[in-house]
Amino acid sequence: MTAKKGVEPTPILNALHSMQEKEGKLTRASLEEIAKAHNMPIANIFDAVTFYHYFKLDGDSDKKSAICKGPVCSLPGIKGQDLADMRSISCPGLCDSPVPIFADGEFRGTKGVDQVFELPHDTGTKGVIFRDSRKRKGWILDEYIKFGGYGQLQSLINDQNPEKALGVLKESGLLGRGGAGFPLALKWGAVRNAEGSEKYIVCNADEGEPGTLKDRPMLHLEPHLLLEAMAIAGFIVGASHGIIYLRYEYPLAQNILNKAIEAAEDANILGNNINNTDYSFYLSVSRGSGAYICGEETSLLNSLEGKRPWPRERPPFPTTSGLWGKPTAVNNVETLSVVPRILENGAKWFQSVGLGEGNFGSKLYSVSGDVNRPGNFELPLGVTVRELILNHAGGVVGGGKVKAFTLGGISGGMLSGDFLDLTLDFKKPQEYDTFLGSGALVVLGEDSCVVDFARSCAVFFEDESCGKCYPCRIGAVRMRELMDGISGDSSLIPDTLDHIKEIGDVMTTASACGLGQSAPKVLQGMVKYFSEELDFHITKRVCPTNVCGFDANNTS
Amino acid sequence: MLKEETLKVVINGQEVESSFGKTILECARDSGVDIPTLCFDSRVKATAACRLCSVNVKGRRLPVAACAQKMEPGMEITTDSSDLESMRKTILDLVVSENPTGECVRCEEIGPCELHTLTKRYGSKPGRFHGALSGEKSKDTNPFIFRDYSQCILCYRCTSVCGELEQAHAIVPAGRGFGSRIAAAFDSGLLDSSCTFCGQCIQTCPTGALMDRKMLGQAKASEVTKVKTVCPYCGTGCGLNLHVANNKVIGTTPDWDSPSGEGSLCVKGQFATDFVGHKDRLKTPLIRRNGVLTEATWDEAYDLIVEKFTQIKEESGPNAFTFWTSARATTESNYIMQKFARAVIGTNNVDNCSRT
Amino acid sequence: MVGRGAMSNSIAELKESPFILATGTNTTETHPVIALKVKKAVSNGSKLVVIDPRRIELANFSHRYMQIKIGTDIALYNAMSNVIINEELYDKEYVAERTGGFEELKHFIREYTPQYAEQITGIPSEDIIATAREYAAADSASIIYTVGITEHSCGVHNVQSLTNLALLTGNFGVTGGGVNPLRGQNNVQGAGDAGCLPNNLPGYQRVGDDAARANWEKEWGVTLDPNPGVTKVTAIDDMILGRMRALYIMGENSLASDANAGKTRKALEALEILVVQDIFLTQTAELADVVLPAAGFGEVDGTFANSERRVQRVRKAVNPPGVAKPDWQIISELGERFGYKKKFNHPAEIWDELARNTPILAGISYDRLDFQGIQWPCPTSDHPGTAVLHTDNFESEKGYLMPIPHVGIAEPTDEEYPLILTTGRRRATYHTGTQTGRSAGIELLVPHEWVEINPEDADELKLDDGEVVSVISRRGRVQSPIMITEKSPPGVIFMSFHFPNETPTNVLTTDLHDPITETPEFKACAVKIEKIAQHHKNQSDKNGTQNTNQSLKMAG
Repeated sequence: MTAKKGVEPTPILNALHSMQEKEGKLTRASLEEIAKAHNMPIANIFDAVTFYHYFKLDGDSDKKSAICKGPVCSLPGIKGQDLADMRSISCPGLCDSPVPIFADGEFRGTKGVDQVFELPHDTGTKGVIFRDSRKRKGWILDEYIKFGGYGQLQSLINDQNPEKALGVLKESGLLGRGGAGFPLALKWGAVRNAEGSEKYIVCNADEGEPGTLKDRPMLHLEPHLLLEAMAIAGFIVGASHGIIYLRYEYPLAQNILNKAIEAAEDANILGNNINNTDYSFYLSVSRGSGAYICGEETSLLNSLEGKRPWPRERPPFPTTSGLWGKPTAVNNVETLSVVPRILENGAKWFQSVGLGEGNFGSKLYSVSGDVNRPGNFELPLGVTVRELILNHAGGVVGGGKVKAFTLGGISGGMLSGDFLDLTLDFKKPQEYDTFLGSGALVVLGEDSCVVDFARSCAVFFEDESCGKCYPCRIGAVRMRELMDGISGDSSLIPDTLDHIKEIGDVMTTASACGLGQSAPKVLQGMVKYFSEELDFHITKRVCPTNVCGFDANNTS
Repeated sequence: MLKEETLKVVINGQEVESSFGKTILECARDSGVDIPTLCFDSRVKATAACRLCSVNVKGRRLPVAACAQKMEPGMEITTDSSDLESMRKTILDLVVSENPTGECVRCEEIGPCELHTLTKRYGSKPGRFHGALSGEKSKDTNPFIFRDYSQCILCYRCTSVCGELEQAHAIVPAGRGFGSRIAAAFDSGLLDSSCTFCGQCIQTCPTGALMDRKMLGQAKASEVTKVKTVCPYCGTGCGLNLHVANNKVIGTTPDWDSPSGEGSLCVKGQFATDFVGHKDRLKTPLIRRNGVLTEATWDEAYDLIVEKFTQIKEESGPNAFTFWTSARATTESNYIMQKFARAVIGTNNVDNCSRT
Repeated sequence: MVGRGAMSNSIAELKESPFILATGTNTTETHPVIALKVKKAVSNGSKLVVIDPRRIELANFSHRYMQIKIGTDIALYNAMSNVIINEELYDKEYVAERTGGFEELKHFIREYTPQYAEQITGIPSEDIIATAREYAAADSASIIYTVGITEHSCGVHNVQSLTNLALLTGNFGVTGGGVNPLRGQNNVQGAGDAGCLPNNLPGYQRVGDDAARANWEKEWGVTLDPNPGVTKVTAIDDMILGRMRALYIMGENSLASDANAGKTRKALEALEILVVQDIFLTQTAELADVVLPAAGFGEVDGTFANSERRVQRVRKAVNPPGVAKPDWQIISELGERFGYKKKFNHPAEIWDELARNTPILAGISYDRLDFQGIQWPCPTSDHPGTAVLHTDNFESEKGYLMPIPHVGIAEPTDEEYPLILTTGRRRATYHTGTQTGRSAGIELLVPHEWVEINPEDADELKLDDGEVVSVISRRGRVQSPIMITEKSPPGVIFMSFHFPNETPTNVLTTDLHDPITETPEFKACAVKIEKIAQHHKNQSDKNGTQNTNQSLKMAG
C-alpha cells in the first residue's frame, strides 16, 4: 500500500499537544522524549513551550476555567457581570457571542456550540466564498463536489498550465486578506520562481485579533474550499506539502479539517498521485497553543518548526526562505478560499464584485462591540463603515450613535463616529493613519468609555507582546501602566500624555514587527479624536461614562 | 563570484564602497560610522532586539535595523538624524526603566558596562519612565557564573552565544513578553544543565546581569590592570587578559584579537587560573635531608646540584644525565634548558613531554 | 611524509573548510575552542565525518560517524586510499608533480579493499567508500587529529597512512585543507621548536647535521655531541639499569602522566639525584632530592607556540610567590655555577639568540609579537608568517606516499584481560590536575575519576552505575567508580588521568611504544574489571576511591 500521507513536515507542536492530552501536562520526561525524537536540545523545547498560553508544564497552575477579558468583552454594554475574580484568556474569537468561557479544554460563547455552524449574516448579496453555503453542507465531501468542488484543481492538473492560472490570479487583482494586502499572484510567482525543489504552502488560520472572527466560518463550513485552494497553490508554485496553522482556540476546526483531509485523501482527490496523476499534495493541520504573535507569518513559521515563535527579520522573506528555510507561500484562509472562485469565474468577474476603483472582490467583515447584530458579513470590498455598521450590523445597541470604531480588530487604529463614510478597502483608511487589516471592526456606542477601551487594548498587547524587541516588550507595559493611571487604577504619572505619544512613536517606528508597530494605534486614536474625554480623566479624574473605576478619594 | 563584488551605497551623505552580503551595521562600522547597539554580537545571528541601530533608508517607510539588514546597491542611509537619536534616547530610557536604580556592580568592579556607557552618552537616566521592573536575581549557586537578572535587559546575546556559537544550548529565552526571562531548561541551575562553563555569556553580557563570580568582590575596577597573554592549557593558544589587582590574578577575559581563540575561551581558560598564587605553591627550594624534603636557600640547592652533578659527570660522563623539559613552560625556558644540557653538561639527552 | 610535526594549516581556517575529517580527536573535550570552529563550519553547511572508537560529543555534529575498532586506523585510511586510487578520484596533476611513491602505494593498497577494511575496523564498507569519495570531491578537506592517532605503538604509521589521503587529493598547501594535529599542551610546539628533543637542535636542525651543529657551537662557544640523545622512554629503562644517574625535570609530573607509572616510579627511585623544578609539589617532586620553586604562568615573560605554529607573547602579570624564580633564570644561574657565564637579563634576549640561529623563527622578534602572534616559518623581519604550509614545496622536495601495513595493538585482549582501556582527557580538568585541581569549582564539574563502560559490559559484570570497581592490568590496579554509557563501545573502557592521587590511571597503561617516536600506546592496553567486596560498594563516590594511594604504592 502506498503511503497516503507524506512525512508530516511540522510534527513538534502536535507531538506536544498529544503528550499534554495524554498526561494532562508536559513533564520533564515527556519533553525529553520529544526532544530526543526530534533531535532538539531539551532547553530549546522548554524555551518554546514556555511561550504559549496553553502548554502546561509540571507545576504550572491549572487553568480550570477562565473568561475573555479582551477589549470587546470588557465593553460596559457587554460584560454585564463583574468577572474580575476569574482568570482571563486571550481573545478566543467569539466576539459575536460574548463573553466566552474556557472550561474543560473548550471555548464556549453564549450562543453555545451551534455557533460553529453559523453562517455569516445574510447581506442580500450573492457572496463569493459562501456562495453555495446556504444550499449544501460544504464540509461533506460529496456535497462539496456536487456543486463543482475540486473541479478547479482537477482542470488545473489536466491543463498542466500553472502559468495561465497565475495569470488569471494576477489579473484579478486579488490582495491578501490577512491584513497586509499584498498581491497574491506576486507572492505565488516569487515562490514559484524561487530556487529549490522543496517548497511549502502554509495557511495562516491563526486569527487572534480581538474582534476578528472571519476565518472561523470558513474553516467550519467550507473546509474543502480551503483544501482545494491549497492544492491549487501547491500545483502553481511547485509544492507538495500544505500545512494549516490553526489557532488553539478553534479545536472543532481541527476535527473538521482533519476529517476533510482524510475524506479527500481516501477519495484520491488529495494526497498521493491525485486522481492517478503525477501530482501529489499532502496536507496536515498543526495546532497552535495560544499566541497572538503567531498570526505574524514569520512567527508562525518559527512556531511550526517547534522554535520560539519570535518574528524573523526580513529579508529574507518566506517566499525564498520560509518553513525550514525553503520557499514558502503563507496565505490567509480568506485569501486562499477565493482562489477557486476566481479560477472558476475569471478575473473580470472577480473585479466586478468590488466597489469603487481598484477594489476587487468580496471581503469578510467582522463586526463586534456595541452593535445589534455582531458577526461576519461577506460584502463587496469597499463598502462604507456606515453601511456595514448601520445597515448590516443593525446599528448601535439602544439606537445611539457610533462613538468610535476600530479597524483591523484593534491593530488598525481607532476613528470617531465622524468617519462613517470611510470606505473599507486597502487604501482609504491609510489616509487617516489607520488600515483595514483583517477587516474587523469593533464598535463603541456612547455609553462606552474610549479610555477604558484603550486600556483594555493596552492590556491585550502587553499580554501578547512576544518579548523580543525593546520598543514593544517594554513599551507595551509602560503604555498599559500609563493607561492604568489615566483610568484611575493606579496613580497618575506626570507627563502621561507626552509619554504615551513618545513611547507610541517609538513603538510604531522601531518595533520589529506589525504587532509592536500597531499596538499603540488605538491609544493614538484616543489622543487624536477624544482629547476632551481624555482630559476629563486626567485633569478632573472623572470618567464621563462612569466606566473607569476612580476611587472616591481621587474624584475631587 | 557575485558575493565578492562590491557595491556602492551612501551613508550620511558620503559614498561608501561595501560588498554584497554585508549588513548596514558592518558596512557603517567598516567606514568609521558608529551606530549604537546593545543586542549585537558579530559572532552570532542578529536578533535585532534592541532596535537602537535602526537607521533610515531612503524609500523605506520605517527605519530598519542596521544589524540585520543586508546592503543593497544604491541604498541611501542616514544613521544619525535627530529623529533617530531621540528614538534611541527613548529606547534607552525604556531600558533603564525596567531595572532597579542603584550602582552597577559591573561598572564598579570590572569596568564600564555597555549599557551604562550608552546611557551616559545619551544622557539617559533611570526614572523618566516609571513602572514594573523585570527579572530577578537567580538562586543558582554555581561557582562560576553570577546571574542577576534584575540587571538583565533581555538582549538575548547570552542565549545566542550559548546556542549558536558554543552550541551548548544551556540557556534559552523562556516565557514571553515583559515576563520573558533567561533560563536553563526547567529553570534549573547551570550545574544541572548542558552548560560547559565557557563563560562566553558573561563576556557578551552588556550589563551586570552575568558576571564572573570569582572576580566579584575582589577589587574596584580602577585598581585592576589587564595583562594580555595566552591561555596556559591546551595547544589552541587562545588569547586572554589576566585581570590583576594587588599582585593577584583575579580572573580572565578573552582577548578579542586572538587569531586562534577569536574571543572564545573554554572553562579552563575562563575559570581555572586560580592556581596562580595558590597557597600550595612552592615558595622556597627544598632539599631532601634524612629522607625528608626540607626548606633550603637557593645557594644550598645550587651547591648540592653542582656537587652531585660534577661527581656524576666525572665518573660517568655527560650521558649519565637526562633533562626533561616542559611543554607548559615558555619557549625561552625550554631553550635555556636544552642549552644547559648540551652546552654545559654536554649531552643530547633532552626531551619533553610531547609524547605523553 | 611531508616534514613538519605541526598543523599544516591554521585553526581559524577550519570554520571555512568545506569538509572536515576528525579522527582520534575528542575535540569538544580536549580543544573546546577549536571545536567551536568545527561546529561553525557545520552550521555553515560544511560536512564533518567523525572517526573514533567512542561515540564522542563531536559525533553529534557530524553527518557521518564511523565507530572504528581501537587501533585499526591504518586499515581504514588504506581502504580510503584504495577507493580514491581505484575510482581515480585522486588529483593526477598534483600526484605527478608534488608526490613520490604513487605506483608503490597503488600496488600495495590493492588488498585494502573497503570490504577487507570493514572486517578489521568494523566500519561498514559503504561508509568507507562514501567518506573516501566525499573527501576526494571536496574543494578542500581538512584532517584534524589528536593523540588518538599518535599515542599508539603504530602512531607514526597512523599519521603516514592518513597523510597519504591528503597527498593523493592535493590537500596540502590549500586553505581549508591539510593534515592538522591538534596539540595537547600550550607550548608543546615551542618546546620542540626550542630543541628539547634528543635528536634535534633548536628549529628542528638535526644534531647530526654538521653545519647546524657548527653554527650552534659558535653561538654557544662549546663543542656539541653529534650523536642523538635518548628519549624519555629509553631514559627510564636506562635509569632502572643504573646507566642513567641524574635526572633534571622542569615542570612535568612524569610519575602521574607517563605510561606504566609503576615502572616510572622504580626508575626515579633508582636515580642518584633527581632535581624537580616546578610550581607545586607534584607526585613526582615528592620523590626528588632537590626541589626548585619556579615562577609559573602569569609570573613570567616569554612566548608560547600554539598548535598552528603561532609564536605568541605571554606576559608577567604578578610576582611569583616566595623566592620562586623563572625557569630560565634558575637554569642560567646554575649554568653560571658550572662556569658558563653567558647572562640574560630578559627572555627577549634569549629569544633573539634562538631566533637568529633558527631559520624558521629568524624573522620573529618581541617587537613584532606585541599585538598578535606570528606563525612560523617566518624567515625575515618583513615576512608575515605562514598560515598554510607546503603551498610551494615539501621539506623533502616531494611529499612521499607511504605503503603502510596494518598491525594490531601492542597488547591485545585475552581471556584474563578481556577489556581494552583507552585514556584521555575531560574538558574541565587538565592532565594530572596540578592546576585545574587547584581552581575553585572545577571539582563540581569533574569531581573524581570515572570508568566509562558500555551497558553490555556492565551487565555482564553485574555492575551498577556509580559502583566502585578495581581496574587491573598486567602492571597494576586502581579503583574508581564506573559510569555506564553508550559512549564507550562494548569491550572498551575509558579513563582519564586527572586524579593521580585517587586514581593513578597510568599505573595501568603500557609503555609499549612506537618504535620511531617512542610514544607509548596510551590509547590501548588490556585490562580487566573486578568487583570490590560488598561493604565497599555502599560507600559513596567520594569515599570510594580513598584506598587508591595504597595502590599507587603497591604498584611500584
